[in-house]
Amino acid sequence: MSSRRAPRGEYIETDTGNKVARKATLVGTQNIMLGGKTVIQPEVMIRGDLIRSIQSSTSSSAAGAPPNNTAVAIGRYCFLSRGACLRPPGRHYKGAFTYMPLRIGDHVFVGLGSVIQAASIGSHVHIGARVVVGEFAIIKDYVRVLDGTVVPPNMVVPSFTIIAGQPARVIGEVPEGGHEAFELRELYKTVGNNPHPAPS
Amino acid sequence: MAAPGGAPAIHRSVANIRSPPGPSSSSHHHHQPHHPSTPSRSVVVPSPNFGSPSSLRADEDVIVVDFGTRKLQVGFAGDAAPRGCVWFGPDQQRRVGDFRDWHPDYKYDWRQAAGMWGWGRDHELWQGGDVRGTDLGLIGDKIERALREGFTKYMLIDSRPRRMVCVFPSGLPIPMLSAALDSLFSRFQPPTISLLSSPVALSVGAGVRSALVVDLGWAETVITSVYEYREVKTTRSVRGVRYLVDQTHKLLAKHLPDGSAAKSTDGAEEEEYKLSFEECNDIATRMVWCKPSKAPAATQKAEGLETLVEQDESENSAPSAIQRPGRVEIPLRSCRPPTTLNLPWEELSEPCENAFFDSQYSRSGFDDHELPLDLLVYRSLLQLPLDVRALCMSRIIFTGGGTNVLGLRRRIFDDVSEIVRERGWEAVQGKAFDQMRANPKIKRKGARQATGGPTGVASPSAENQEADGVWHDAANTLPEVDPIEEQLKKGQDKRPRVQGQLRAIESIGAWSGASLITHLKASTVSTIDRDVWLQHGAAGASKAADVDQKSQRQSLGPGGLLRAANVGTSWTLGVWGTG
Amino acid sequence: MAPLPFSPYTFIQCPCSDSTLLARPADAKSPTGADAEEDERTFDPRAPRSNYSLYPLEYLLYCEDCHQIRCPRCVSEEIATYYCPSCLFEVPSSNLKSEGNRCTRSCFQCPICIGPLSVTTQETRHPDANLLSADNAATPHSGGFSLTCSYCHWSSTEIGVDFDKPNGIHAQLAKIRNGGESRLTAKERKERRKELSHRGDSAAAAAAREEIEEQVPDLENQFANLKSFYNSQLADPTAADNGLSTLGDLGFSSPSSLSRIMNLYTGGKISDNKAKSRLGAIREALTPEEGLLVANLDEAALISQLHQSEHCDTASMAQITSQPPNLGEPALHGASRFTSSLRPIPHLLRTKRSKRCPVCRHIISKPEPKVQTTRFRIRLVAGSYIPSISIKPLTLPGPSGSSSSNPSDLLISLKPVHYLLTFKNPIFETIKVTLATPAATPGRFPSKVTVLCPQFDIDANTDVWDEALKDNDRSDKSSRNSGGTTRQRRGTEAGYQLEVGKIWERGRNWVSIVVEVVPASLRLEDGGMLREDEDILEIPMFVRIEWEAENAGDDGGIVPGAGGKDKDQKEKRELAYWCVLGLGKIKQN
Repeated sequence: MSSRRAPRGEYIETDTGNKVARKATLVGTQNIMLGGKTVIQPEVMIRGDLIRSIQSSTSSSAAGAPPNNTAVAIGRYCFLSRGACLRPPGRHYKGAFTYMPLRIGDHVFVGLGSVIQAASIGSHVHIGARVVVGEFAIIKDYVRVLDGTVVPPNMVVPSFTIIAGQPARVIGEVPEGGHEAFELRELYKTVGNNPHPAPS
Repeated sequence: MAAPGGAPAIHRSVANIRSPPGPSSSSHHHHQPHHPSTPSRSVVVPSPNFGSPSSLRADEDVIVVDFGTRKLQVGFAGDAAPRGCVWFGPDQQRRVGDFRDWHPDYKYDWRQAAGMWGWGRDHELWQGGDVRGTDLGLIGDKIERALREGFTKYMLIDSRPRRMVCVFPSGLPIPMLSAALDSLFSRFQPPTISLLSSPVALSVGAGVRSALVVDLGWAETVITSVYEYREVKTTRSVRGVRYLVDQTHKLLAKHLPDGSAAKSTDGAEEEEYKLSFEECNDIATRMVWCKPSKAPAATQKAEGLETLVEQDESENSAPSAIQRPGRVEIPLRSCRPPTTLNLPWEELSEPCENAFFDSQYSRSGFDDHELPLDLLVYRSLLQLPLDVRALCMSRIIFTGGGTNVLGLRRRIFDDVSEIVRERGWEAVQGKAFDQMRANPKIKRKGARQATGGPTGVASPSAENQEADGVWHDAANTLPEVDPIEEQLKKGQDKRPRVQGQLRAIESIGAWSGASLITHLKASTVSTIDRDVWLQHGAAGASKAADVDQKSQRQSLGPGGLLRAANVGTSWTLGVWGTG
Repeated sequence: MAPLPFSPYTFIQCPCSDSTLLARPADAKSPTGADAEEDERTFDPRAPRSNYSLYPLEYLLYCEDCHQIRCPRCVSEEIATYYCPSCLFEVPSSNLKSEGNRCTRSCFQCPICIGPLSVTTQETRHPDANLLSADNAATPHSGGFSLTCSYCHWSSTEIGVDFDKPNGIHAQLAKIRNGGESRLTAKERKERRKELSHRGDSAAAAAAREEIEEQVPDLENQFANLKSFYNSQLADPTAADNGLSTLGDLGFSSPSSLSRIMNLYTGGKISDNKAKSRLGAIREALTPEEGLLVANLDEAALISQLHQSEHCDTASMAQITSQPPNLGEPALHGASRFTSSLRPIPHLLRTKRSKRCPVCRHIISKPEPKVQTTRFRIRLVAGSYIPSISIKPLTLPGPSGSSSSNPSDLLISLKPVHYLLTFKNPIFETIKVTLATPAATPGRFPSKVTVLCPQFDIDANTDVWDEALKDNDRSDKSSRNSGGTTRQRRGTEAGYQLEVGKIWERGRNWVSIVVEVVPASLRLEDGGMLREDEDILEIPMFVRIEWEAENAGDDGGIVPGAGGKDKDQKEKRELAYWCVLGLGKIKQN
């Protein structure tokens, strides 16, 4: 990690431990759910305004409950690097265009300048720099997406997979000993208004 | 490529062993290969107690592996096709966890690779011709990694030991075979490995017992005559697909704008490559084609070459196709700077012409190891005994990567037909001979009607044969009694076999042939037991290597690799006797 | 072309890479045993073979019973689950043999770009109607369905293939040739034939039969034809007593120069007359129905097709090699070069595997079998048993103040630099580490290497609870170059002098030591070329770890009867292996 000295107050730290850079652009914040301890670096953009315009009639929440307007849901200990963009995917559905929610699990790292339009991203996922994850892609747990990868729309990436290429293809499996490397707790501590140094 | 004939080098390839019999030491040991159908009683093969212990159980998976120079194919015995094919390449030679090939900023530096391995050599498992300087352990490593990929990615099998059937090119030098077996036995623990030669597997895969297998392979073109499931004779030429890629490079480099491939600072290398192997290989696969035979179609008809297979009217469309003018654009990325060539489409047949035929040179001017393919096929047939030739010429199997060159198979076939038409099956050439041939009386005398009425597609009419008797007579002569044929005649099947005319047939391929053989439980002779290999093979490793070599020289069949010590005694001892 | 960013790395050589050579008695003259002679030579990470035995730590497992590292090459694997990586459906193992290694539902990859294909209706109005929504599939479409690539927009209509139903694409595709012509699978052909023979000899049946046979048999059918032909030959009872002796004779007395690797006749023992004669009785196939196929050498039409093609109409090597074998066509030969001959690629299945130690057969890794679960029941990774090594350049703050140093900075030839190696002990015992490196790295460009402190102890790891408590404390202790001093530093702080034989820094379960390197000069006298990675300063290092372990029982109690009964007795253990440290990139002049 870079040893950049963060100016005071660069980040807004929430009660649940989220560290959101003041210079990040979060549109439609009411539709963005953060699980806690998530870092959002400057110049990140999250498009919470792109909400579902048609409620799914089959959805269980339809009965009585208020309409679920979550556009982007992010779990705990995620890390969105500078310039990353999270954008809910959209498509035609029963004759009309609608966005669908983008769901991200825990310990998900999104690299510099990557664009995510997936339907879902599991937990313990590392997405490198300048990656494009196409619309409605599904990335399961413990997946490593190398730098510069373009994940085509609708692609399903199973657990323990390393993908790369344009378009993405499976190039390897995450070895048994590689699970711990997805943990982002330590990385979380290294940013914010009172960053801890990176462990040696 | 070939080592000097007489001197038995330590790592001699079978290529040398099987080259035309000269005055070399092998002649008294070998039976004269010209009469393969007459068993020589003087050479006694050791008693056949080597019978393979393997009776393959149907419920047990047997793995069939077909080894090529650039790829290996794996699958289960009994399947029609391999489950997967793994290519050898630089990306496979990286450390595990090294994903640089996928990094957007990484560019494979083919110049560096060419500097280290030789242009394109990093795409090969082995350089078959020469064992010296070869890292045999590296071959073992490559095989292991490729096979592991095959198992994990394509066959989806665990690592329980399974029997293996391996198809090796028949000319593979023993040290490499040994390295491959070492790797297989120590890393995959198969209880047994059975060896098959690809020509035999191909014959079985074509439904024939005899065949002329024309393997337009990567490193070289190998022509093997198989007679009654046995390899009788092998001839080879360096004119393989690799050479075609070389020629493709030459063509493309010629068209590169000047200065675009600025010489590297060290211009000292004797062969300067301006384009990457990968790119040239790709273009050779995509764009290169083969011109049809120059022999005018009209002449062929008049001469009654209707005997040629599938020679219908559509053939005439070929010349018209090429007459169309046209240019083609080829994008090139590996030169500096990248460019797009625009060259006449016609020229894309040049690499094929130069690589396989070199027709601008006199046919007599070629060394044995670089014969043009038409001549090579002709000579291979010519050197066969009459009866074998008669069968083989009607069972030509084209195989190998070269078959993908559009028009090449037809070209070879037509050119061979043309040579046969010109010369007949006489080893002698010259004016006097031509005169003799021109004399119809002499000609008639030798002519004999084919014994069997052809039933095949390519059956020539009796008249045609008559008119064409010069070369058909020889082929149709059946001086030897073929025991199998005899037996079959006794048996239920009265149908004679197609013979005496040139005909090409299609095989399902070496892998599939091996799959079939294994599935039919036709036990192979050289089945090697793991324990024996690990003990005896190692104890005899010094010997085994030599012994293997001489055994292969004589026979990789009976005795095979393990009993080879009992086999030859005389001449090989001089070289390896101290071992 | 931007240079690849460099970051330091460690690779470990699994000790199994030697043992295969030792499995056979060493024999100097053995062609493959040649390396045995050089057993004691320094490990050269740059040798081509090294790439096959080096692994990042994450790829290594550890057997607690054998106390040994296990790598992907030496473990034995067992398959827990087969599944399709695209639809994530589990495939029963019984299906594998019959249905093959690919997904038989509707999961395909694009033959052009390898991206995923989706089933789409041929009305282009809803281009991204896809499998995610069941509703789409349910709505009836008259136009038929096709497979479309969401990345390069290739469509199966380009090869003339479309489908009647949106599901079961695999089965539908098996019956369609490129161009739309329907084909009979080998099974169907057989059934059809049988059916016709039952119907008697009506003219219609004969015509229908002819129709079946007229098609040039594709590979699958040719194989099936050959198989049934050979089987019928072998099964023929009249063949058994024919020409037996002749065959035996031929087989065994044939000149040895003629018999080669394989000889069908001599397969059995001589007493095994029946088998032999059966094989001998095989005649040749004579008709296409029996598997004999006369080659069609006429490729004039294809040549003129090539003439009319652009470069982009032909398939690249990459595209051709990723095609599965096309059983639905006769041998394609040159025709395979056209993109019009490419087929959608059914997804290869994947597996979940458990792994065993090859020696003691204990399981060392075992995933939950369910496809969607990522848990492991057992996962003994080497990282929990052997120390990890992290590398960073050590910059001594000079008079000029802070000089930032970056791992991606290039090293200057012949200018000494220092690296900090931090060894972290994962086990609950104190370990003694002994390092050995050659004074100069092997290869054409020897860099000088000095490990200032080749032997040291690392304190035991403490358990998770302790760690949690000490968490903050530890973070404070950790130092950064810019961060200044730490209490544990052994060097004299005033001058930042490096002392031979002293460790640089020590933490709870880690130790940092300093390595001094003098990067080689990358000049080649003969004007040759630098090979790939030769500019990377890589040092081979032999690591020996010694520790005393509680005898069986204390560390999880999974080893019944492995040690003595005396629990107090400590057992000496030792582990040694080569590793490779990639420190930095040397600047080329």
